[in-house]
Amino acid sequence: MSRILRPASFSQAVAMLAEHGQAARPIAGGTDTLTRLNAGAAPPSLWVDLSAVRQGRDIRVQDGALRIGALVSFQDMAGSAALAAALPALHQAANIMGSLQIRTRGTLGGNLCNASPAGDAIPPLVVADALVELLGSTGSRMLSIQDFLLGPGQTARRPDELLVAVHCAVVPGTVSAFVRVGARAHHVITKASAAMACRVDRGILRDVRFALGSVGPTVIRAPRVEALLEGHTPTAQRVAQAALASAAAARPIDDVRSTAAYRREVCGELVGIMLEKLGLQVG
Amino acid sequence: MASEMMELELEVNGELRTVQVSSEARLLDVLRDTLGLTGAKEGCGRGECGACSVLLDGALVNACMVPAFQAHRRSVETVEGLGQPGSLGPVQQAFVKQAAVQCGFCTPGMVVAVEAMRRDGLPADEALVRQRLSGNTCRCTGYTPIVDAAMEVLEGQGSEAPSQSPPYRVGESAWRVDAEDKVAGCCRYTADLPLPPGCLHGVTVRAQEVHARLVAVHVQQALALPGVVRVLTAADVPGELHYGNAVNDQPVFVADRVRFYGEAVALVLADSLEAAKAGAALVRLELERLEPVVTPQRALEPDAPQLHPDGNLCVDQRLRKGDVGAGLARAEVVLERRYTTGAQEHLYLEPEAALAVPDDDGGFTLRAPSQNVFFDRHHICRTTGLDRKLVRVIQQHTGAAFGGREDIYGQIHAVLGAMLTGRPVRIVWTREETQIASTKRHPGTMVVRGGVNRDGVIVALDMDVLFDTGAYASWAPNIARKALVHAAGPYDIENVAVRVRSAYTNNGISGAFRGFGAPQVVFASESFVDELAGAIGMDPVQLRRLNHLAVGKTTATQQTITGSCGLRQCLDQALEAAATLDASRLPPPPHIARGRGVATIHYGIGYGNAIRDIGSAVVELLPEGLFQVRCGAIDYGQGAVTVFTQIAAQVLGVSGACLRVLTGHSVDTPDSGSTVASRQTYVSGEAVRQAADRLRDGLLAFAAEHFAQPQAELVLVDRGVVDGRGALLCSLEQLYLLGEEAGGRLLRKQARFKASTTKLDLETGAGDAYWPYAFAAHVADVEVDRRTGQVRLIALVAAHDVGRAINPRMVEGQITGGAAQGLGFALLEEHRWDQGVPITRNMDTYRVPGPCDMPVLVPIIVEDPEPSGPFGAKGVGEPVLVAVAPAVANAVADALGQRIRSLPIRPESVLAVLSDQGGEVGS
Repeated sequence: MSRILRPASFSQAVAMLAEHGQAARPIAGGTDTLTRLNAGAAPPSLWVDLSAVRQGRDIRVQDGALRIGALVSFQDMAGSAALAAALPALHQAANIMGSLQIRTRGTLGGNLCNASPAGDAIPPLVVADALVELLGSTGSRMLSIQDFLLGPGQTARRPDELLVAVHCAVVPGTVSAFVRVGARAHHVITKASAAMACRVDRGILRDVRFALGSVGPTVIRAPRVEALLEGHTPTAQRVAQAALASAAAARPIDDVRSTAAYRREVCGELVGIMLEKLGLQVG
Repeated sequence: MASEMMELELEVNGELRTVQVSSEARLLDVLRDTLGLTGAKEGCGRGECGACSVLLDGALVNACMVPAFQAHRRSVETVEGLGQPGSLGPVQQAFVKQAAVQCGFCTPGMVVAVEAMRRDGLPADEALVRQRLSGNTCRCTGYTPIVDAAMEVLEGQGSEAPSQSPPYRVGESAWRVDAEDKVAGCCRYTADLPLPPGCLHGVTVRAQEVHARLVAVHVQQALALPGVVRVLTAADVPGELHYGNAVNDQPVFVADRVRFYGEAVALVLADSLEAAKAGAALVRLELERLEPVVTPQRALEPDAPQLHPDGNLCVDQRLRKGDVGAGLARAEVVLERRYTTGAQEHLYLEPEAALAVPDDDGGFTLRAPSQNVFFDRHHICRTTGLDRKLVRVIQQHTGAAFGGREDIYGQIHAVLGAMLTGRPVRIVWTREETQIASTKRHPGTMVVRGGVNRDGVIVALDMDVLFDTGAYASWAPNIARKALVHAAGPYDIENVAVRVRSAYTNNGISGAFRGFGAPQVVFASESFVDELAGAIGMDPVQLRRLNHLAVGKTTATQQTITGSCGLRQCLDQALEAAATLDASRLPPPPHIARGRGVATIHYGIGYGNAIRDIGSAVVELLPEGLFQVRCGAIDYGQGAVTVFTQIAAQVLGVSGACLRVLTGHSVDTPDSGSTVASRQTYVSGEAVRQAADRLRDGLLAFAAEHFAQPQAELVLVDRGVVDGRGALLCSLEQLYLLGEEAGGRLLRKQARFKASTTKLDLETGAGDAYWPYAFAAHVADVEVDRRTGQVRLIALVAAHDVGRAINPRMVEGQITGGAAQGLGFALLEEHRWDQGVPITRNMDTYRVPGPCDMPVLVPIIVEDPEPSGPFGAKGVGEPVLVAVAPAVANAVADALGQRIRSLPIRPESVLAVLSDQGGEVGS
């Protein structure tokens, strides 16, 4: 039997976490948590239920910055015109993550704290150089999303901290997209995914950022792919080189969903698919 | 426990409720167990199937994924709140009208999901609707009618559609008899039944070894746990320990050897489900690991561990027509190819469940999903030692079956528990248990050699089949026979040889599944026919036409086709429909390869092989002036009750409102055999027709005499008996009383109808294997993405000769639903083991097609009447699934110019073929 605490604010929640230490576990939309409990995992002795927290539920674009509260659901992101304009890659990922039922409950903060290698929100945030805001009992700190994610199910969050928001810059002229491959059309766990952000200056790609999801213990930023595309028009030859680099950057495994060989090959193809999705002619 | 409960306030369907629940309860538990709102179902416990969908503060959620404490002071709406029979809401009405309901288990969740669309004002756009429905799985309908219902609601056309069912007459698309209850969520499946007082919960203890010697079962710790009442093991089985469909080789509980991962070793009975689960975790199994046998090839090697006393070869059957060796030697072109297929799970949405209750007479009543209550009773009596007079088996509403419910799961355990404790026992499996311990379609390896002449005559076909039957036989010999008979396809080939072997392994259990051995071999032979056509440069359709069965031609079992054979009409109409699809398509982008494939099949209806294949039905007039049909067939969603209603109403002349149908009851309905083999419309439908015919004739003859009127002028109507001028002679209630006074015999007629087949010769396989045969032609169009290897079925034309469609809309429902399962078999579904340990344990890893994976589906009904069937009807349940995979595989080969011979065709295999220039998979 677990006790349930219902903080009204993030700071209250953090104080509760600090007081109860490892015995307490925060819960937001619960989609990942319930999956584990339904499969037989033991519940904690104390839930810190974030349902009543009013903060962290908005998407704000202000002064060249995007701030998404940790309790924003995927369905909120999927329906946000502001997000679609500021970070299309994340908007796209939010639209195809899980099912409507899961998107309704699942939150951005929960998705990041769950740190699944297949988490669809992660690659879009990596290419946006996003920072996560962690609130602890002694104050808050910002970490880059890549420093935050340590491995499958592992993050840099301390037991007394809550992820309260995600921040990134909105650079005018930047375009981004998210693509993924799964076993079926919708409501599927990703076999391999990619996100990319860049500016296009008279056909030339600038500030290219490229990341792969679901093909390593955590998200993989692919600097070699970025370097090959940076400052160039995406010619067929260049895209082919970038595809090889993308495949080389992947660290896939064989598992129940797919094979390492397939994932690696698809990671190469994702470069061309991505450029097509961004509306960039490969010529 | 009460002190540990917490109090929650919720608004449920507009009413404020205060409930005491545990912190571990989910919203689904509160609704179902505390409030008795069992409309929302538990199909997976993982947020995958959507059967538990409800609205939480107006937003669509899975009730299995919401901790109850998070619903505190929030509003919840369930299917029950959207309308009840007699006052259905608009979405529910649309589901009834559009035949969007089959087994009904997914229906409440689907209805709520469409209600959410309606409230959100979603535009009536089919692609959007399908995307929004992706969190809801349906295994019966193929989604087509559900999407139709959603579109009707969103287009606001509800008022224009008919508000009354078409008449219950043969050939009319009458509404399902149970549709209203199902859309309202008040149709109860076994786990929805209120717990009887004192009911115990049973949780199965499963071995977590693939192959092991069971040294000891330690139950003391479990028994010491408060709430645990008893732990059953093999030692508690009073009757025979072993049971089985074809061979009694499966133990009720493991006694000495574990033969598959997840096999039942014990059953913990406790006052609460929590205690039973905790108790099960405390039962300690002492096991000595043995070498596992994980392929049928390995099983047949001389040094392989032997899994059963008679060795690992469970079945070895042969068929011979002509001289295949001479034929191959004579043929101008000879090919040899190897094909494989994977294990497929039925994934009916209702997990296994059983509720056994002790009766006052010392007997027991079992309610459970089933495909044959008489078989269930037989297995229960055999193992418990109970007399069959003391065991009543009632088929509860069943969340689909597809062959998977021909086997025993919790039924024996529940009755045994009730017998040994004197208390009711309920067992409900989780999705993981279903996935691990229920039967699967036999994985198959088919080696085909065949010869063809350049003029298109297939001279010889030789197929060697090896099935993996897993740990136990289930229906292995019967499945092998179906494979044997269908291996050579719907062709008259002069020289045929087929051998089918089925070997024991430690890979779960294989059993009956829609198609029953035919999908594997027909995938091989219909792929092979395309390969032969390629080898002689002939159009594969032309090659098929040149060799097709027709009236007067003979099958591989040397059976001459007579009566109904609509194969050519199916092919002609399918190709014609497919041609019209081409016109609207734009050329594909360069990375997409398009292809078209055709498959044609024949499929034997019924048990075949001279097995007692009898339909039996009683039709009677009741005191309340209703007619009642009683038949031991099962309606698990395919629609037998509605079909029987239409047949009886047609014959009697009354409306559907005047008819009641009782099925699936081991005491009150006559044994009409299993609801399998696509046979019930044919055999039981004909029994109903004959019984109704006799009843009507007898009643009218009696009335004619009683009222001194010419019999030819009298008719039965809902009001009673009317004469030639339309004047009422007596009501049905009065007719009943008159008949009773006259001795009562004329009030009740029973008819039995036997399908006519002969026993196959053991050496040659010759004989009238099945009767009748259904025929079908499928045309599949696919798009293969060369970059990702993903195959998308974009269109499927499915033409089926069903003899006569008793209810055309329901036949279409079988076609679209079978197409979805066939698509899964072809492209997506495979239950997999790693060295015998199952790795696809829930719906997140065992994927089935969702609404967005379905193609444009064009069902075509061909009616070449079968003289022996009711109004010319044959059957349609299984043939649909059989034809899909070969059509898809042929389309993929057409698109790629290379063939993949292994199902499912995963993107992984496609890319492997494409990157390995010229290489082929599976040969």
